[in-house]
Amino acid sequence: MAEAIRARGLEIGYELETGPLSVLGSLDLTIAEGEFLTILGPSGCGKSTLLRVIADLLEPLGGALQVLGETPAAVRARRDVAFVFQDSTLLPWRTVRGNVELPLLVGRRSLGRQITTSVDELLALVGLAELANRFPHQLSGGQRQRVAIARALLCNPRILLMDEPFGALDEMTRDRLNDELLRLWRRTGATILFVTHSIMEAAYMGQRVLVLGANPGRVKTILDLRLSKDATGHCPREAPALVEAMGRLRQELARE
Amino acid sequence: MSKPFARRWRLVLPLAGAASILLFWQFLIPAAGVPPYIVPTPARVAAVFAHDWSLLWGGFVPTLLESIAGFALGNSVAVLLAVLFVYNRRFEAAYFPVVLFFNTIPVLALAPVIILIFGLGMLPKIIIAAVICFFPTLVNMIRGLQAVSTSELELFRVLSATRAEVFWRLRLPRAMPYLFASLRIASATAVIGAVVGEWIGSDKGLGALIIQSTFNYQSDRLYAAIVVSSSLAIALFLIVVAVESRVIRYR
Repeated sequence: MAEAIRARGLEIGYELETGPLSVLGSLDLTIAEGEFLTILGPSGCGKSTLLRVIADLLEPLGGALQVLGETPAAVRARRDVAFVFQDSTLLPWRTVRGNVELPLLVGRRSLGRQITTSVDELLALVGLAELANRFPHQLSGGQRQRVAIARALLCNPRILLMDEPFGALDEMTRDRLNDELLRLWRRTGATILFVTHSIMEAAYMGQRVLVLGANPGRVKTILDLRLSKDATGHCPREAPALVEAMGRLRQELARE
Repeated sequence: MSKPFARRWRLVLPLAGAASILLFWQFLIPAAGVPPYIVPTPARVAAVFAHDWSLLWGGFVPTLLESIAGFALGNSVAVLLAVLFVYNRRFEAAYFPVVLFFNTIPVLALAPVIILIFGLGMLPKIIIAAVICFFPTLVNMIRGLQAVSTSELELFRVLSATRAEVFWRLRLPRAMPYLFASLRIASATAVIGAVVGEWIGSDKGLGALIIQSTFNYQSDRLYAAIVVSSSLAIALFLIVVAVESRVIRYR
């Protein structure tokens, strides 16, 4: 299968006035197209920074990074990568429909292709058809994140980067959205990189879990869960294999 | 059941309060021996509206035009300068302190200077009204244009939005609540600016009417002119609020 992401000796962090501040260094990572990878780690381990480098929001400090065989900038310009933020980042002055349509409104010059997705179908797909004319402040937290996901899916991205998208939601809403996201993933075939600080979410959602450690930021392990899940990537939350995986993840996180 | 009750009283109580003060004033002032050329009764002020309607209207129109023109000028310049400041930090660093200093000059001290430069027509009054509107809008607009979150900017960057798109689709709509907050203030201060300008050098407008009737001990006219100026400010305020509710529909 083709590679969605290929990092070799990648070093990421921030350019500060005092010089570069490395957050995560010498990262070697290959993610196949269509994979669902969850990224788990404590604050400051660079998990959000990694997504931002892949999305071309940040320049890497060093090393090599290829996204779909190209530079992150080329992939971003074509909208083959979409980003879902923890705060849904909906524009309060636009309705649900207006927010989902935002990608049709801005940045079209660099796009170079026609967007054919029907906004109505997309809204129905995330269960928001009835709420199309509402404003964001009239929605619940879970509904707002669905709008953000619909907006991200509008351009049929091949890679979806999600930065703790359900981190601020209550557990029941989060469980439901987790299942809906898995359904969307199977349907679209997109590669998803999903940052979370929930062990349960990481194990339940990911085919593989990338566990990062902080101070200094580093890869602790990559846990492969594909054998525990069925062909569609599903595994019941209470399955022994998943419970065991969560135990291992907890151990990895605790390990110095 | 307490809600409809409370709503009815919210309208009735302020009206009753105002009426009680007017009644008190109507009967207490003469009873206290205050002559009507010092403080007129409400009934005498009302009579001015009946007898000298054309005089009040003649004062009202220039002040209205000066206030609106000054409001438009001062706020437009403030918005444009705010955009320049937000997009050019060096320009801001160089000129914002100057603007800040300029703002500390009392408008009453500035008005003669403006009249000296621009003469006695309508223009100096418009400029004084503009100056008085300018600063709150500048400060609020700068804050509003900068009120975008990091993730909003990242969202627009992931979408490869141009600088112009970030401005029109993100910064400007973000700034609207801030802008209207200052426009509401400016709707009242523009009238103050126009009236102050007319005090210093004019024979037209409500400001001139106020000065003339003060010097002639025509206190009933003075009070009527005050009522008209304050009504003008309230009307402008209500127009701003009405426009705001159409522009900002999401609250």
